[in-house]
Amino acid sequence: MEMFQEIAAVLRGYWGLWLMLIFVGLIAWTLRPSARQKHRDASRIPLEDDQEPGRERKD
Amino acid sequence: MSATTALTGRPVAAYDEDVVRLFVIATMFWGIIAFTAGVYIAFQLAFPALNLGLEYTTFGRLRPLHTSAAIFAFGGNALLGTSFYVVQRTCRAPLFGGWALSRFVFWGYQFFIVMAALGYVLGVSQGREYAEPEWYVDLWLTLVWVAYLVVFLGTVLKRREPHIYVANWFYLAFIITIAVLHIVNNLAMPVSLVGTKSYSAASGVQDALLQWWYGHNAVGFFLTAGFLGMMYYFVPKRAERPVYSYRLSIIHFWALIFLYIWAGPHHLHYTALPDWAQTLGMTFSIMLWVPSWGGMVNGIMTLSGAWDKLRTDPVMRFLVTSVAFYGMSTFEGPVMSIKAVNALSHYTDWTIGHVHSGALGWVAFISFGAVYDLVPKLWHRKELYSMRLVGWHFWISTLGIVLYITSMWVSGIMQGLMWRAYDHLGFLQYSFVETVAAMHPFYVIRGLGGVLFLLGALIMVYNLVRTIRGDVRAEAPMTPANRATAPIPAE
Repeated sequence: MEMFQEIAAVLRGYWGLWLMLIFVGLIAWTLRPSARQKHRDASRIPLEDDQEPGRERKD
Repeated sequence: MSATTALTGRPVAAYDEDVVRLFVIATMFWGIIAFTAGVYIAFQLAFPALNLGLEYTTFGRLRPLHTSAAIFAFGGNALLGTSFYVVQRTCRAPLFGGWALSRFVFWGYQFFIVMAALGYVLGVSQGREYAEPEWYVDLWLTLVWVAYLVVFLGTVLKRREPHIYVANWFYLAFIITIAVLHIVNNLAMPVSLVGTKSYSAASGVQDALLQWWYGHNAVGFFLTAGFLGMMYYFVPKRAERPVYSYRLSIIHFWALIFLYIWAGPHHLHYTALPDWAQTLGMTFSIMLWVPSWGGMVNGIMTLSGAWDKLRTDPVMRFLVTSVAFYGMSTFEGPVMSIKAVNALSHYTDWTIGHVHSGALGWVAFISFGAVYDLVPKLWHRKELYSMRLVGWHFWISTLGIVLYITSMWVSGIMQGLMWRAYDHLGFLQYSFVETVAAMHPFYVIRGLGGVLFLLGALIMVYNLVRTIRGDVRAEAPMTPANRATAPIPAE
């Protein structure tokens, strides 16, 4: 238990690094090529909001 | 899809648009109050007799009335109203919590505004900028805000659209962060349960840093993230094309979330705050420039291929100009956060000019654009009463902003230079009152800029009231018929 606390204390010192890694990870996740179509669909959400749910036009 | 299906099949009837109508009306009402108060206190600075010799009408009491009316009453109602509209539409779900909860949010928020304003005029204030209301008003706002969070988040959780559209991310970040900021910054001990006075839990430089951690993130999450939610819905909607890059909008979001929270210390340059904290605040403020401009490019480039709308649709002009002002303010801000620049700009009118290029150019213009877009839809009118009047509103208020920010640049930089001028014996060259006298003409110009901005807003209210009544003005269309139908050659 004490060992974990010591490790946690060391890691806490690098909080800036962890935050940076999370941020870079988020960007990489956003830019992954497989999400291209998903993002294209998502960007059309406000344009199709006058229509019935489940019957959105896909183009 | 045929018109009949669109009319009968859509779930629009299930959406709570009534509460959005209330918020839109409140936005117009408080907007006029805020701009009028601003014009009045601007002229108080030019002509001190306007203080009227009464404690209730001194600049010190009316100034928080103006800032709170502009930010929390006008801006807040615009944010709450559009967020309720956008979250229902993009989640394809009616508001969570039903009629009573959303009405509580609306009336509770108006009550907060009135309580805060009464306090200012009567001299009840914590003296914390943009957080002036005393403890009892703070507690009330906390209650209303939690109800707001429940309605918004509940709607998102109940959504019938699998993806949470990016505008909702920005709105949600705004709601959650403002809750955290509000609670932490207002930690205080009331002197008595029946009195208005309280003392802050922190003291000294910690208290100051807490206040500007709050203050700058109120700018970052109330005046920026919230209105970016508005931008990511209304700009694509009005342009009838998807946002330029959805990925960029996500990166814009996360970059703002990670960076903004650190920028507050730039309000405390050259104070008792440790040097490293000042430098940290400056560094993060400069880094903020990049995502801000990414977002600006994303908003403006959404019009790519439809630039003609700028000519034919004055509502689009409001929306796009607001994004341009967002870009300008988010460039000026990082520049002013640099310690060497801040040494000149801090405590001068340059700051006031900067705030207003953001508040008038970005916040108010995007709200005007959103309201012009919403009113015909909410009241089921085919079109606005007059597009020409929207055009007049646009140019009159743009001229007002230009007068405001240019006069404040000149006045602020002059003020800063006069304060630091030494004569050949090493004495300060100017007394304080000499700098005040030198600023008089610029105060008058600023006041006139404010009058123009107010005039534009009055035109808007007239236009919207006529629209709600169902009138349509007989006027020449924005696009001549031959231009509208003829194909426009590619450039």
